[in-house]
Amino acid sequence: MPTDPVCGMFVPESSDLHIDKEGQRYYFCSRGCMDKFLSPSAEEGKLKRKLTVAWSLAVVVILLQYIFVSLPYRDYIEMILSIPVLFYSGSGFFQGAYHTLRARTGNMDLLVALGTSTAFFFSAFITLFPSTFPKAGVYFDAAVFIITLILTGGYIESRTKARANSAAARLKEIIPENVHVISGDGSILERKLEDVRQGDMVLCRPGDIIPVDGHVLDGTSEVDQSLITGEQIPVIKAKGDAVTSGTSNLNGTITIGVDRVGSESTLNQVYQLIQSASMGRVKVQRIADIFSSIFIPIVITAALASAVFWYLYLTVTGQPLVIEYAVLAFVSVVVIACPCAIGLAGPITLLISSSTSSENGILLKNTGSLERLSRATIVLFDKTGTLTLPDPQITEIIAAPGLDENDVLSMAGSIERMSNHPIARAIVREAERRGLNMPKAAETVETPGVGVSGIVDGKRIDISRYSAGGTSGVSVKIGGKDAGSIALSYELRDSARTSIATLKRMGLKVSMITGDTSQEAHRIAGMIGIDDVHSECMPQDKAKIVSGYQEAGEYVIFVGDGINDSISLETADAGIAMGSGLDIARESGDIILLNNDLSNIPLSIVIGRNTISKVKQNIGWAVGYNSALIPIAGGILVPVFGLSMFSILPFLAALAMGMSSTSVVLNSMRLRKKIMRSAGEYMPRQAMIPVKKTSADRVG
Amino acid sequence: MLDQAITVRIGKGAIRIEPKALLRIDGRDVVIKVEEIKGPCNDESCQVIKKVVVDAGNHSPREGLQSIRCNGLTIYMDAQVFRSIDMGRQDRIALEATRNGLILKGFSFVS
Repeated sequence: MPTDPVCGMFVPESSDLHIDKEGQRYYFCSRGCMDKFLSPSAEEGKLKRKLTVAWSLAVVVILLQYIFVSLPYRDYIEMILSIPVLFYSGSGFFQGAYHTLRARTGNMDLLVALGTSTAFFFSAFITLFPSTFPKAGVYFDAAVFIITLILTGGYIESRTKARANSAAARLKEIIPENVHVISGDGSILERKLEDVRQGDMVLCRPGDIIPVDGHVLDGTSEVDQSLITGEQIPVIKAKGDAVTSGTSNLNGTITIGVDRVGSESTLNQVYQLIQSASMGRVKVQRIADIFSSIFIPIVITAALASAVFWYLYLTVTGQPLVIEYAVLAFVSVVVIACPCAIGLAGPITLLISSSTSSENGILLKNTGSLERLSRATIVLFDKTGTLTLPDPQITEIIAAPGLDENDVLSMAGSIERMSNHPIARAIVREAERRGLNMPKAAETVETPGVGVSGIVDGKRIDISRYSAGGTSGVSVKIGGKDAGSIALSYELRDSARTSIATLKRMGLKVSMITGDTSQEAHRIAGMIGIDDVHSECMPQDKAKIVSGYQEAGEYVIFVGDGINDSISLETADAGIAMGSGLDIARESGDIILLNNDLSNIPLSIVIGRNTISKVKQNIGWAVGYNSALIPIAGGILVPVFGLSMFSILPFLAALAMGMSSTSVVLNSMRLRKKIMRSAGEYMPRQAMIPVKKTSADRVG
Repeated sequence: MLDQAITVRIGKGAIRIEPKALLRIDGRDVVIKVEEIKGPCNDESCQVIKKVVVDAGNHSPREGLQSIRCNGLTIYMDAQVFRSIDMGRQDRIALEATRNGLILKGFSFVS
């Protein structure tokens, strides 16, 4: 069932109160919540006004209560001043209590409403009917200060939460509302982003944020992708290259063909994943679930029990003011209890963890996997496309006498254009990069495992592929005569060696799974420091190997390609996928490395370990706080400090409740620094900087 | 058979069904589903409380549930429950009988 994004109430999908925004439907419990959602700035202004009213009147009430004690009609003045604080500034608590009662549940609003209305109506009764309890005093100050302090705590908490979610908020803020669309006749029109469709052409000038996912149709520019991938070095984008929404066009004008826009865009998917992080679950949250579900009835029972106890005890011992103390004990207990701190302990930490991860190009699709990451004992790597770049690179072109490199490349490209083999793609890409003419080929035939042949300009061209002794390549024959050869290699990713060294330093075992021959697999593994190798594996074998490790008691992280290794990524305890730049939502894996930087694997594990530790800390704090302070509010310390402590307990309770959720949020915010500090222990600065490639990095 | 507990493997985890629970089930299908309750505070950051509800009988709908058969017993469960037991490697879960019905002890949600 969907929840109201403002008050968190469950709302049936049949509700008429819903809006569609950026491709997503939001449901609301009331028109008020819908208005708040649609104009959050107006809501913040309203909250500030409520706080101003609350503080200015609360100060006057306190002065009257403790300084101007003999002022005529003091109680009446206090009562009149308390009314706006309770029923204007504190109206949200009463509305929340009404909604929660209607839903037959309980929440903090119910506790605040109960506590403040008890203090207020008891005092109002004493004021209006002073002869009923002749010696009793009034406690309007407690009622107004509870509202004021909790409201202040809530305000600080919402500001802190906004800071905690700043990375996600930045993602949404940068996208322009209007974009420049090139129409069919070549004229440039300004159009709202929501009116742009797949297939449109968008003009992006220097300094503009790229508003859509697409590909460059014309122009060249450097693009800063740091907001999406965490990669600080700008990337050159030219015709045919893919561009991502949310990246920044630095210095050239480019025309982009729109592939995805709105809710389908990468930027929006990243934003949605960060936002949904708080819905994830880790095992330790079970404690919070149990506490939260029984909390409200237990607190109300405890409050009633302390009120009854003090009433009976003081009556039996012949003390005065029995009703007053009983009321104050009840008010203090319901006000000091803070279910929110328990409810927030897990989600806010997961949100911050997800936000910090995304800043580093790590996208958490499933925050529940953080716990399994933190327990990992072995990391299994796929080879091609994971430890190495996905496509081979041309390392050498040898031309027969009378021909040059470009002749060989041009002929090979003409034929290879018909093939989808990675070697063929690399040859065509290089020919295109050099601007070579690739004449149209006829009668092309591809023989799997052998090569391609065809007719170009009336001559027969034969391309034979080979892969042996750690090298791959093609030999080119024109009219049956040797014309030359092209050698290719898969290059190791920049951070492969340092990341594996870091993982070993962290106490993890590292293994490689590949479809390559044993000889080739061991050669590559030796270069990057992996001892455990599984070679000649089919995709289905990989998943079996993952299960085998799990049966042996290992917690397995599998790092592979988000599309091709989906079974292994799902089987592993935590699957980390290299970002393919395709639709993020369709990629498998719990975690996606948007920048394909392998040093983010140890960082992900560090994030997992620290996040789980922080969730435990927060739940421990929230549960401990409530367990310790509820008995204090109930008067367990009265034998030590005397009955006079009841006069300040409601204030202390309000202060504690107001700040308890904020302290959980603030503690969670320390997670960011903690992660970076822990990462620094395993990953010294020089190890984080990509190492310059050497010839040794070419792996065949 | 009903005087001995049985263990049903669920992926990488397991549920131990206690003898009293087996008596209560009495050969009927077991349906394990998830119930969601609103969290305790008043904004969307607060967690939704999840509870597992266990029922033995033929009246609970089984659409969209996964089924596991073991020792002549069929257990239908929500995908969230299956994934939590499997991915969480929870192997100390016990299905017990109480005065009010069946309960799953020791289970935690993981996503």
